Amino acid sequence: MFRSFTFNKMKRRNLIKNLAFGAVAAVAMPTWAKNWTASELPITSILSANEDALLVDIIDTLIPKTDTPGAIEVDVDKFVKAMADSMFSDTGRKAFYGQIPEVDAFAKRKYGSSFANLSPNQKTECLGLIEQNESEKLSGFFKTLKNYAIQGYTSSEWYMTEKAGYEYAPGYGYGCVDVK
Amino acid sequence: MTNKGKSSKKRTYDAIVIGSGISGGWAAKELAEKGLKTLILERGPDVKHIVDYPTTMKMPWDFEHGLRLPLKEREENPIASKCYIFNEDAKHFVVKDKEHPYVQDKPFDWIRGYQVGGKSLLWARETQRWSHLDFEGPGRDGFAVEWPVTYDEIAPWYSYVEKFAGITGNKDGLESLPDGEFMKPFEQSCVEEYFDNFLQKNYKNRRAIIARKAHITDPQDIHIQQGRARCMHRNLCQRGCPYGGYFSSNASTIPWALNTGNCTLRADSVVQSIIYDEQKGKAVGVKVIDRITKEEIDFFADIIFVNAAAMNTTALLLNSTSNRFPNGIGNDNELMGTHIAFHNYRARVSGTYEGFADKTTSGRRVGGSYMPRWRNLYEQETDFIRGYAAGFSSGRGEGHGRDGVGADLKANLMNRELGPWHVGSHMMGETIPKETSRLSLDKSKTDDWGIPLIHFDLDYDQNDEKMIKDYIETTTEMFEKAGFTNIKASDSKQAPGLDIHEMGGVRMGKDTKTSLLNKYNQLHECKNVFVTDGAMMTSTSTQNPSLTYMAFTARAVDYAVKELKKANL
Repeated sequence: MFRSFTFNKMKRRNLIKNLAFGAVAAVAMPTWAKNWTASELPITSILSANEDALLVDIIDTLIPKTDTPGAIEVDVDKFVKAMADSMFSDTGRKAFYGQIPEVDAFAKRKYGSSFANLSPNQKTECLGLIEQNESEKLSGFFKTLKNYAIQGYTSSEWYMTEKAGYEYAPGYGYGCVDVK
Repeated sequence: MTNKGKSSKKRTYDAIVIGSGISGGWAAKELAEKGLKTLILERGPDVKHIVDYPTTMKMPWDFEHGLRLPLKEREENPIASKCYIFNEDAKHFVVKDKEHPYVQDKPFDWIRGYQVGGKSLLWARETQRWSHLDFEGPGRDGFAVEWPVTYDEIAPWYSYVEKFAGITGNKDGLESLPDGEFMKPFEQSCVEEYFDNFLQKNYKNRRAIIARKAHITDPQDIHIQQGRARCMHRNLCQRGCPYGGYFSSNASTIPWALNTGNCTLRADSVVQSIIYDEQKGKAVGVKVIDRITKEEIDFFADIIFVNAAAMNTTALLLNSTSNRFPNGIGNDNELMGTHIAFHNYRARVSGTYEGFADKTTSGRRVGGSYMPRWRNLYEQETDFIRGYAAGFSSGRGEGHGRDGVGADLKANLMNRELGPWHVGSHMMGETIPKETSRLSLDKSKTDDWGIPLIHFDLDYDQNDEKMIKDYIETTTEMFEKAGFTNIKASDSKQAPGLDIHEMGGVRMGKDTKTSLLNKYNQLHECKNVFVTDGAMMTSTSTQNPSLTYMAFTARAVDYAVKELKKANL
């Protein structure tokens, strides 16, 4: 919904066109076709602007842009917030978001600097340390964050079409072919 | 339109069909095709083919939460949430717990689809015929009552509905699972084919054949006329199929019925009861409560087909009381609501296979293979009666590592690797209809339309427990012998209902003292009322039941119209 690229509008149009021709002609243009554009995601996050920026920074560090798109480019931060906002109990959600400032606190203890001011290498190292951190709360938060970030990234349009070979309507299902 | 004024003529039809799911759609199509002015009453909103499939064209990344429903929605719907269909893409087709409450004297997970098309939008589309061994089951093993219909009588009607619905399958030549009118089969995976060969070499009567499903693989004229096209292997059926690739009332029978010009579809029409005329000695119509306005409206017809879904059909008949039928219409023997049964889906066995490392699947497969019942097939072999069929499927998943942070993690995510072949089986056990397994109406509590709430009082029994044990032991043994590894068996202990194959309540039979319906699905005591959905089932056997409902419905309509023309109804 929120992870769409403009080039894909063309794909969708073709898809609808193919559908109209492929299936039988008598079918009128359905209502969903008109409402196809992505709707806004209701973000009910309880984060302050600083915390939000920190969360984005963490996710950007976790799955950075390299020769392929990074997490932020494919809106993984929005996905993580959507999941945190809706998949937890009220207590669980507060506990999750409550750990974000702790990442900064950890960075200050370890490097004497806020997370945002660390070098890219330090940021990566810092998150690695948090993943192994003895504080269950902090490492638990990180594990949840990482799981959702990986889910968001690997289910993004870019990843699914470019890396996972997703086909919307393959038209076939072969049972036994050679591994390429 | 209301009951006021002189509009009753306008509210009179030749036939009324209550319900628009898989059997109601068939009743309407057949009645309208035979020239009867037919009214379909559906309690839920209309769902027009394609137009009302709001999620069907969405991509996986278009869903806010990766298809998973928010915790709040799951907590508000503890029953619906148990169903594999209840996700972001199809939740709108599943009844929400609070909107339609019922009473569980014993746990019963009742999954419902209240809309035009009913659960035909959501079904698993498995379509196996019953064989003579299934129809003869109660007679041979001495449970329930004997079926009043033989396989030979129903076989031509299986053919009739298969051609129209569009069934893919392979002609396997099995006595226990008769072949039908098949379009070309889907493909088995290498491991499924291997397992089938293994079974044939090592066992008697055990096979793993490609599933027979209501999917179009090779569109025939009759499908093109319906505006339906070939299955495109999206595997998103539960959203409604824009190609009409699988059979649903919405894609097939309902538009076909409406196109005859003889049929009217009235959605949002909750049927409260069937109206019985004491003088005429027959049913004359139905009482409807408008779902939205709550207004009461009567509709009249010569014949009434009750296809409201097994449990609702039973409840509706029980709620249709009169001086003649104080216990519910056609319920002189007070057996209505008893002998409810279902399919036992509790156990699974899974594993992996190291062979065929250089092979995989491609595209997207629609379903897997099917193991027809082999237990107690020709004679009693075990300490439980009847048996189970099983789904069997195998495939390879692609995965990636999850270790590291930053560039390391990313490298792992980009490095996708093909995993081993996994194999999985799930049981589909026959359960025994018992007088104690019953549904009844609450004496005081009603729903928002003033209709009594349904009580469920049924459970597994010792026969089921023994069958689960046998399935797990036997399947584990077959898997080990076939060379599968990492074998794991589990019993979900799920409550009855979640199989979504609840059947019985208004069973067919030969004797008016022990059954409610005759061999043409007429109420013994009120011959112009026909029941052709799951409520009619005398026993459950192991096959997915929908195809059998379709066949019985088409046959009953044929009979009903002939009788009507002879002025016998």
